Amino acid sequence: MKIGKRALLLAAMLATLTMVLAACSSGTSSKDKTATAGAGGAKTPAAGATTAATKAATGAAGSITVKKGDKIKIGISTTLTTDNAELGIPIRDAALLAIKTKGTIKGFGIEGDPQDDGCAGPASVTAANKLIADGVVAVIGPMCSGGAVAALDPLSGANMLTVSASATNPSVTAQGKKNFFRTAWNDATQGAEMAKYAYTTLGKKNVVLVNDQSTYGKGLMDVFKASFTAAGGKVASEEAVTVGEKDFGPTVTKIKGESPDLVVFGGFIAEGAVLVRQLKDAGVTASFMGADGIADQKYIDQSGGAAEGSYVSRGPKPTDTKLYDAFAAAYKAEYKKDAGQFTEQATDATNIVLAAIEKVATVDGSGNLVIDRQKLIDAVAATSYAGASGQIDFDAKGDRKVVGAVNEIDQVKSGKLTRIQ
Amino acid sequence: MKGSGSLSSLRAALDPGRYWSRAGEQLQTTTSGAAVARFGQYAVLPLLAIAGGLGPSYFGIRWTFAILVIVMYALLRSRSGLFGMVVLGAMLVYLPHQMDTFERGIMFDIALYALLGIGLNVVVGYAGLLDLGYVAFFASGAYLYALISAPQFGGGFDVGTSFWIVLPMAMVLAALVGIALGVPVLRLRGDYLAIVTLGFGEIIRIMINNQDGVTNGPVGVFAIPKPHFGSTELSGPVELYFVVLAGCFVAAFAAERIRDSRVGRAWEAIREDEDVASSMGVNTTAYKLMAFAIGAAIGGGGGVIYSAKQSAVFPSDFNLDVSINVLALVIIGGMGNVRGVILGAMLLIGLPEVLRDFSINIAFIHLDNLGADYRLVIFGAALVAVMILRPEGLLPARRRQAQFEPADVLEPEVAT
Amino acid sequence: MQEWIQLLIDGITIGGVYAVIALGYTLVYGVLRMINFAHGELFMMGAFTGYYTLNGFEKHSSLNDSVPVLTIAIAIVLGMVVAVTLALVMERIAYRPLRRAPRLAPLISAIGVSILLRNIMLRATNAQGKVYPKVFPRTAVEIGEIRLLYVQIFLIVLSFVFLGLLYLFIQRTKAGVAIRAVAEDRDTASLMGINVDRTIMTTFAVGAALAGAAGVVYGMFVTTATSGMGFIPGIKAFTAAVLGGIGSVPGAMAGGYFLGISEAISTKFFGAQYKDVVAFVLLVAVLIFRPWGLFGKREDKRA
Repeated sequence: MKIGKRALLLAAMLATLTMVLAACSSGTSSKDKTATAGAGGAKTPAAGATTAATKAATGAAGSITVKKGDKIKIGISTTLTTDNAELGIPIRDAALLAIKTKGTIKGFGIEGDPQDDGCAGPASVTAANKLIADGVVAVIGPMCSGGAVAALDPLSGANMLTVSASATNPSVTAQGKKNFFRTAWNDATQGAEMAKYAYTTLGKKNVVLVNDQSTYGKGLMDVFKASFTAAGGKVASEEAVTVGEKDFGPTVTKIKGESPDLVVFGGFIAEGAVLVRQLKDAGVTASFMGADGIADQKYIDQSGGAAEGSYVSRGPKPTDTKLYDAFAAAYKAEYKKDAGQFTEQATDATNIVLAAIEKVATVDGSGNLVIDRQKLIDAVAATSYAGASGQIDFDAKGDRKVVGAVNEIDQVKSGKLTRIQ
Repeated sequence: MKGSGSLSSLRAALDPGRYWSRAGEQLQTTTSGAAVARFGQYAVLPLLAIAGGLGPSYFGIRWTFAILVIVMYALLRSRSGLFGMVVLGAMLVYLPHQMDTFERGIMFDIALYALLGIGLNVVVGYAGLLDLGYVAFFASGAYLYALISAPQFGGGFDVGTSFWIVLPMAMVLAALVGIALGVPVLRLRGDYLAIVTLGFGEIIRIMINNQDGVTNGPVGVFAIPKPHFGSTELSGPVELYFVVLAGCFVAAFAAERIRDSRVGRAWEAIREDEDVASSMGVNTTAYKLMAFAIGAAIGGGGGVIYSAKQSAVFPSDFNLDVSINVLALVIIGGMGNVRGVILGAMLLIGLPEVLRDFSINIAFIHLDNLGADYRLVIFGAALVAVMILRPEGLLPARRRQAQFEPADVLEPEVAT
Repeated sequence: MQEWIQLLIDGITIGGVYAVIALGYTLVYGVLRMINFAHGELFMMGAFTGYYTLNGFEKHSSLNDSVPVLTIAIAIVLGMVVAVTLALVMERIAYRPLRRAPRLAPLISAIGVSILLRNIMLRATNAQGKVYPKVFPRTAVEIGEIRLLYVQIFLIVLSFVFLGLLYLFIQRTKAGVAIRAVAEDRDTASLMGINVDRTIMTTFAVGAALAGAAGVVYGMFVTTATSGMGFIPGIKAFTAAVLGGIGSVPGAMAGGYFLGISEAISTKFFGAQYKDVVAFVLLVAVLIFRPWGLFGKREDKRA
């Protein structure tokens, strides 16, 4: 009986291996198939019964066809599970609001397709695959830098226009993917500006850096350190906090022992608010500085008042806040909540994508909307857009160019983020 | 069967009281729980169908998945012969061609986790060593390939062929890591072993995260090249899915052969009662280390394939969740059983992803975003439900009924 | 020197939390030989209950300002009630059917419950962290450079009190004796007329009450509650329980403080990045010399 089973397994294994080899040897053709199926073209007939309304089909030359009566789908890759959803849900909401506000393009309705990208590589790839399969025209996201780097592999394979509102690490655009743009500021810009402000304007010479061990936080602190030490400042020590923990007592005690004149933090609200509060509780008098990861009213609220006086860098912003105020008011009217961090970048990203679709989409003879993927990417590359987060022009890598704006530094005054540069 | 038979009679001879109390307990389980268990066998089918995607117009289905899962369950359960295996193999090879990008991605993940499950099964299911740090071996394989092949670090090898060279290298490396872990913890049992291995997995991740100079830290390693097979680049999830699938078959075949060998019987003896095994002349040290090494090697190989498919790896990819997932799928599948591992992987890895589409549209009930928002809530409930309905796992190994009873691992019942 | 004392205090603060949670692990492990992975989630639910209670008082009354002792006491009691209720439901639905199942089945069931609770709270709060109202004045006792928040003192003292009470409960009360008897030998205990089901429920309830109360006080200390806040303390407490010898009550207490203090000191030496590495290396070191943990019973090892 045992031998029989073994022989069975062996036979099955050999059979499969043979088939595998057969499948692999025709690698190129199956790859083509992937591209076609990628946009939902080669689904099984039964899949037609799916409740998802859009049935976009891929044409031969990398274009998407939205059938008459269907909606244009915009993918939103953001974090909806784990505590990182604190950031991810407002990003989704901002993108959905922009879609709702736009209403239609050439008579076609638009709908958002939010997918949870878990703020990490594996889940972001799954979300990207899902969006490709759902036949979306473009993707807003992924939310986190690490996830973006990983998800760009399938997304660029599908030549999918991808605009992230919040993936800030230099590595994301360093890969040279032509389909990727971001309305968030590259940390290389942001970190250098922070260091300059800390050293020159604030006159701080001795700092402690704290990162949250994430791609974003660590990356930003690395840039800060390089710029700050190059300017002549001293980094007394580099500390870390663990995302998910709520008591950083020993780290705070250690920072206190270093007697820095500034504590710089690279990370997000949850840890930033706890850290600034515990620093204050411990009697550390050094100023506190963070970046766009904590640029949110929630940071101030969660710190229980300890955030007062801390500095928050937000990337280059125009001094004229008319467009931002209009967006913030619309967001508040819709969701009864203040617009949080990255929401203005999310709305800008969505608006840029929608404008590009409007520009390149054509209605063919049978009333279907045809969107050429490459033309769509080219249209975004050529964008010059005045949005809620300022003037947006992209450089060759897909990063924002600094146009007519200085790096915004806010200080928390009377419980509000107040611009001081 | 001869080996295990003589072993159990030996055990009975050595300690009749223990043997009979066990049999009694088993009997109690089967009589009192019989109705529930029988019901459970059928109730589990719909649960698996959820894993497949659920009913058409009501729920938003992924048919290919549903068919695959149900047929697989039926075939694996019935222990059908050659025909069944060929049908199964054919489906596994053919269906991905009928799937969209998303489903193919999930198929890859399922196959990858099935491979990891087969590896962990050697450690937990065969040798009875509770390992909560399996991710360590997965990570070491993934980072070995990433560091050797990514252009960030000079690219070293010829990218076209490096994959096939790194694969065995990674397996050897992981096996060594497994032995390195095994040596200090040899004396530990049960849950002590679990927490130490958990810690070991975390240590590996933290080290990768903080040794920036070597691993690039949390910023990660990217632009990892895809492997080539001959002159063909294996770039899509489907191509690499076949690589994992082949890996699964090889690993499953090897694992089952080892289980049925002298080594496997030694593992079984250690699992059942380490002290008795040791006193009967089984070299427990060597066999435990062997289990760690074999399990780790499979995990390391899985890591290389993961790294190649993902094209970017980050320390956070290798957190505790991976270890928990792999252990859970081994247990849910029915420990000590390769067929079960495959089903466990479908449920544990497939379900949370296909639930992304889950929605209910029956009559006046329209819950469109149910899956998007609540998939993990449903998933958590499903885990509990499956365990209650099938406490032995979906496909328990025939020979494992008497294992892992409450008192088994830590507490010796025999007062010597 | 003062920095070292401060680090020690930091370690005792978090260590006390680990110790209190670890007791729940160790008690349940003692009677059921199962790792209740969802135990950290009870701690999280306690923190949320504390928030909702205190926030309710803040919004609808001025009791937080006039009689904070009362509102805090109510919050702690409610935190315990919620955690105990959940634990009993959990036990009845997810664990009791698996009493005679293979050993690892309840572990997976517990992981399922953990995922379930975490994600329910995530959706219930829409992933927005909840901020405790200011009930405790955030002022500190200062001795030289050493600072101790009042809430921190409260947390430290309370964890001592809980540990003491639990010890008395286990050693002196009838229910405590029953728990010990069931932990020793379930079948014999049953033959001796001990109601095993009820004893197991008592065990779950006691462990949950401790975790729930700890959640409320910890929530007041860190001032926030999030759905993911139970996971890491849960794992740490599990580590502490094993370190002390799983199944042993004094072991869980010692393990908790040992872990907390080792984290604090290793943060000073190696940075917080490596504190878990140090903790786990210490764990391995301890277990190599005492494979049954600091306070575990030697009978676990016979070879």
